[in-house]
Amino acid sequence: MLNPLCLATALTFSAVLGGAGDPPAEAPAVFAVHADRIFTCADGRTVSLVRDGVIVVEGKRIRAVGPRAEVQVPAGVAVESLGDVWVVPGFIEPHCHIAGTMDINDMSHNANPELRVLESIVPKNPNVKKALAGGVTAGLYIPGSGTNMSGFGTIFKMHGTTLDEVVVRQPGALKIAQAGNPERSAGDIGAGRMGMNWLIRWTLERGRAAKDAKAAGQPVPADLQNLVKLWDENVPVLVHTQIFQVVQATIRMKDETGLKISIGHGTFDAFLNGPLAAERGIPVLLGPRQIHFDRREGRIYGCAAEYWKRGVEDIGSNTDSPVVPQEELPYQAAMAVRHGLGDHKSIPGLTCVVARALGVFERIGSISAGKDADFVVWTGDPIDPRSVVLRSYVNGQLAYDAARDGRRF
Amino acid sequence: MKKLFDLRGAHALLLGSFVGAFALFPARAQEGGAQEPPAEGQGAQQAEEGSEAEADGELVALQGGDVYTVTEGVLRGATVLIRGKKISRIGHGIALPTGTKVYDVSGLRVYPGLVALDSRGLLGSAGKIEDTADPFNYQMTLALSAGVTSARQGSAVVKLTRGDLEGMVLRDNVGVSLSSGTNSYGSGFQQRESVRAALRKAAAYVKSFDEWAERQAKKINDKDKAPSSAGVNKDFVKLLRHQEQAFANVEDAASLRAYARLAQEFGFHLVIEGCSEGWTLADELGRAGVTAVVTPRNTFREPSEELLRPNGYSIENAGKLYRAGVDVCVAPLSGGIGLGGIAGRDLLNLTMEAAFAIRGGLPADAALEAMTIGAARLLGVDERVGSLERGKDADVIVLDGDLFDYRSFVQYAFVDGKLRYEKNAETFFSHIRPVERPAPAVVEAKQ
Amino acid sequence: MAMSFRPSSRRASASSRAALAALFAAAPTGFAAERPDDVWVIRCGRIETGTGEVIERGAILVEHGVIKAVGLDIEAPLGAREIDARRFTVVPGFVHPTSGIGQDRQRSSGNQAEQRAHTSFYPYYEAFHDALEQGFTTMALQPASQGWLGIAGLSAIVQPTGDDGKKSAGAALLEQDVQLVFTMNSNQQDKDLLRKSLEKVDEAVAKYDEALKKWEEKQKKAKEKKEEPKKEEPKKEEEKKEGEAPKEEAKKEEPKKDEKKEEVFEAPKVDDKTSTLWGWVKGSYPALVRMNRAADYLHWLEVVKERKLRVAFELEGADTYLVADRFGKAGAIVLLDPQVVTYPLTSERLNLPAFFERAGATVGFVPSRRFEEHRHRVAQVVKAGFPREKAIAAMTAIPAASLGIDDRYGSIQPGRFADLVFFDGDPFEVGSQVRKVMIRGTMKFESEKEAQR
Repeated sequence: MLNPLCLATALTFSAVLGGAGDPPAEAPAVFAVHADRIFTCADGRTVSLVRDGVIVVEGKRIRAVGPRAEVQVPAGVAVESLGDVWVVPGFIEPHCHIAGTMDINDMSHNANPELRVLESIVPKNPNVKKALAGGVTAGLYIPGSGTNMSGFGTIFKMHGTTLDEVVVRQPGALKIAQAGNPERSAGDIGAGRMGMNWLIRWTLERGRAAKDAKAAGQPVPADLQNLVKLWDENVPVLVHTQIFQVVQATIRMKDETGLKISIGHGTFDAFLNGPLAAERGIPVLLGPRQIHFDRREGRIYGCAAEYWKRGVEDIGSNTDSPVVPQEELPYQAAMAVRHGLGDHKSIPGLTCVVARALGVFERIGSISAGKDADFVVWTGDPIDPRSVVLRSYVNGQLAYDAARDGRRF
Repeated sequence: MKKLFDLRGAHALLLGSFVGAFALFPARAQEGGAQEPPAEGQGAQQAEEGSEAEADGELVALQGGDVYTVTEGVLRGATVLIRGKKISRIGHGIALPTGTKVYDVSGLRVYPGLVALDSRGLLGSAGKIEDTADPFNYQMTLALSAGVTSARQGSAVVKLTRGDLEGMVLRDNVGVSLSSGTNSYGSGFQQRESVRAALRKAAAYVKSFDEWAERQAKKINDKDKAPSSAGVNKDFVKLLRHQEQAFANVEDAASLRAYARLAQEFGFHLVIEGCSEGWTLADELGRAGVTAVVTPRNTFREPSEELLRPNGYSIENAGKLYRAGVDVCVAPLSGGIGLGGIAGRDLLNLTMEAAFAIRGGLPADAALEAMTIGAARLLGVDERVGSLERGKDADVIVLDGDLFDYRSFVQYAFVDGKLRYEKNAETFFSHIRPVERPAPAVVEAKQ
Repeated sequence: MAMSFRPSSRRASASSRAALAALFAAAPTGFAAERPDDVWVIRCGRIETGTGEVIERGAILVEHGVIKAVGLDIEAPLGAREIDARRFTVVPGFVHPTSGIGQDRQRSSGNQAEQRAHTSFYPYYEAFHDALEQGFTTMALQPASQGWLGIAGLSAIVQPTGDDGKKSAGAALLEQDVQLVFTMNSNQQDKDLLRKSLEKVDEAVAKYDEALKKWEEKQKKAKEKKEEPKKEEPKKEEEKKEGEAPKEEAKKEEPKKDEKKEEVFEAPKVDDKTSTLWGWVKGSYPALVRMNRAADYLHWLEVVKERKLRVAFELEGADTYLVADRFGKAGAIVLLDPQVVTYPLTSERLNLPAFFERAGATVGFVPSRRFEEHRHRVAQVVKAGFPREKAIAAMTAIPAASLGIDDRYGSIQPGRFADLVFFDGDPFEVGSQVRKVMIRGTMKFESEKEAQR
């Protein structure tokens, strides 16, 4: 999976991170589009459909959105009518491994808060190009689950040439894997659930202590620089967790640390913990396993539907790409709905719900004034595999245009 | 359409009024299009009793659904009458004989059972089907829940006669493989030359045999001996005589071209499985008259910008091939049914793969054909299954929505006229958006 | 003593009264020689006969180890002794249809039809005493290879004897070659094996018939030749001659050597495996077919087709309920583990025996656990819905019927051996105990409690 691009981009990293960030001071481009259906997801929870609506984009951001009659389009700006299409916020992948090179299981220790995937990002790699054709415009790129704490992920966009352009937030989230994979790296400690959970607790305790020390003016050790941000900057924790008992441990982690935690995967019979997750407002980001076959009951359960039935409202989907191709993120939601999740939960679960879980809703996950102009034009219901992405806008730019670029998916 | 004039049809025509008979076959008047139910009094009742009273078999009627016949259009709010293992009538205003078990399927959609081009594990065993199949295993039930009623399994085509061994094997020894085994066309020059040589020999044999047969018919010479078939590849003779189809698993453009030319040159029918780069030479494949079995999400190879020609994967593959005149069938990423948790990539959601083909430009009705009659044709079982027509096997599925909608579920699946799967009666999916249906009623004798 | 009684293996499994009467006459006379004065009248509190009949305050007349009569008004013959069993519920001795006590349980597959369980019978196992204490009086001893794949061979019938205070054998061999045992799974091996074995039998039968026909024709011709001049002889004499033909004729006329040979029909040779199968096919003994899945039954039907075969089925897998109606329609004997199982792929409880019973099958129970658990496990199934009135039969007469020995064993009816179990209450109450066990008219076991009375 090593891409020749990665070398080139790696060379540019230092310069980009060095602070050359401000956009050129030209007047930002303004354009406006009209569509029959605009799903703004502006309230962060529901689709918030606007019929016969207009979106005005100014530069990288949305300047206005609303019914055609109410939106003021600046003088001289023509409104392009897209007609009978569905416009939705760009989908956000909460769990993927395709933003760069695949060397993302650095199993130096059982817990690696010092690591970050930022180093391996390759903007515009083939996977992200295809993702745009699936309506996915941003994602959380995280290290693998080879260790209990495999490092920090980056929230990135699927379009852009430089790191500055693609990174939404760094660190994006801490990746913790509670069980069901990290066992393979275990030595004397960590082969079992007790040891693994202790390693996680112990490392988080070190982070908390460092945070307190920092507040007292003391220096933070190099390996904990990002970890203290869990408290200081409310950086979220995405937990690789599945099956009933392990998800119990995730909920305990929430209770013990109070951190901004999301349940990732959350599959098999873990939905039985639904009420506990609902009570604490823990988002559940499901996938790529969307169904659970209960052999005792002979039933095939939709995991999302079962959480929902148990009171969880913040339900999202993930692909864990490349486990399932990135462009099939909406298809994950299709499978969730097929197996019982309410229709109205599908689009929010790919947009605003994920954005809130990752703490980036102020920038992405909805179509509303002031936010990043990341939206996608579909021929119909974006959850329906028959629907086609006509255009994907990222940062106000036409990142993918089926007519211009040829159909990629 | 040829089924319209079978004996039963002729019989019915004699007994019923002409109008009645016409109502039975509305697709004749408006082929391919949807047909509204006839106005009150217009559709004369077609007498079922008497005409076939002597025929065996239990009577089952699926009443009031939108019937997607595939070959004879869509009949809204129509009735499918099943007698025994066969479809007896399809249409509006069919008088139901006493004793008919009537399923009210109004508001639902009725399709022919789907034909899976490849499958694994549906019989609960490996080995000779007649001796090892477990017709009670749950993988078969799940395949039925996906709408599949016939499937290729190894070299055989089976019907999912859940609960019965009888009638399970529809046919055996499907096709001649040109990409594996002794007849492989492969990719090496020598291999290809030897296959071509064998084909030439077979063609020469077929020609001389036919000439001989003609002479025999004219009785020109009694001592004229039939040409020897020694050293002639019998599989190839079958191909050249169109008794069998060639199958080949081919992905890249160069190989596709080679295979297509071979088929064109020797005039046999070729079924290409995979066919990932088919879209790059769709016209050539169309001219060669091949059938392509496409898996729209099969990313055989990502398009490479280093190659100057169009190449690699395209979601539009099925659509482009179809528009170039290639018969397109659709296969899922996996022919098995996995219950590990990842959904929608195998036989259990066969129709979703077709939905992705539709996304790539395959018309919906072509996708429906691909899942049914097209697949049946490809497996050589289209005389029995693949469409809803009189006299064909009563393999029928009933869905609560469009076949290609991700929310639709199979509510009933009939195979050989017997109810083999009912969503509400099985544990698997009955808890998901249950659709309440009345219990079937039995038509009582008139006073 | 044990070997003295050897029934004709051609006995039909008749159940009609007339047939029973005939059997009664022919039955266990072997015992008469042992105890010529052994006539008992057992006055019972309650009799469950094993046929579904319950007789309160009835009596059983036992002569020479065989039940002579059962009912309310039993007249004691002169000199008969009485047993006061009015404290007891008396039931037939339990029949174990599938035991393998002392057998090595060797792994096997393929055709082992020539195996005979009795050849490895060993009477000194403690298990026979355990069985007796729990009321088992008749046990099928299956061939060592039972439970594996293929055709295992022929079962024997054994009986716990108690130690009689002599500390000798705990069991006696009663009958051999009683039942053919095999496994029928839906796999190529089992199916081919059964199919080919049956084909071989067909071939052997055809060969035999052909040879017999030829021989008969030859005999007829030879006779016609010889008898031509003596045509006017009286018919009576002719008949007589037929019976003793060889000797008489030998005297009258010196036959050539080869002619003499032809006078005795020599059947074509058949191998042991085929002859064993043949015995089953012609109905000399029944077979027990073990199956695990519903599909196995369909494959069984596919192989046997229209053949009429004496057969009982031992079923194991829960999914067999799917074909219960087919067993029911066929009126088959189905032997099951007495337990409530779960439907495949569910956690729902399924009373498999009750399900089969309702479907019309004749259900018998297999004691698959320890002997002392068997009665309690049946009690659980009864509590869960298996008809109480059929429960005793399912432990006695039905297993006996599966072995084709119900005309001699397994019920309290005239003509059956007096194998009786005396309970101090309802056999299916947890607190009830076996107080005494009678085998062939003799008390072979008495519980400690009973002994202390």
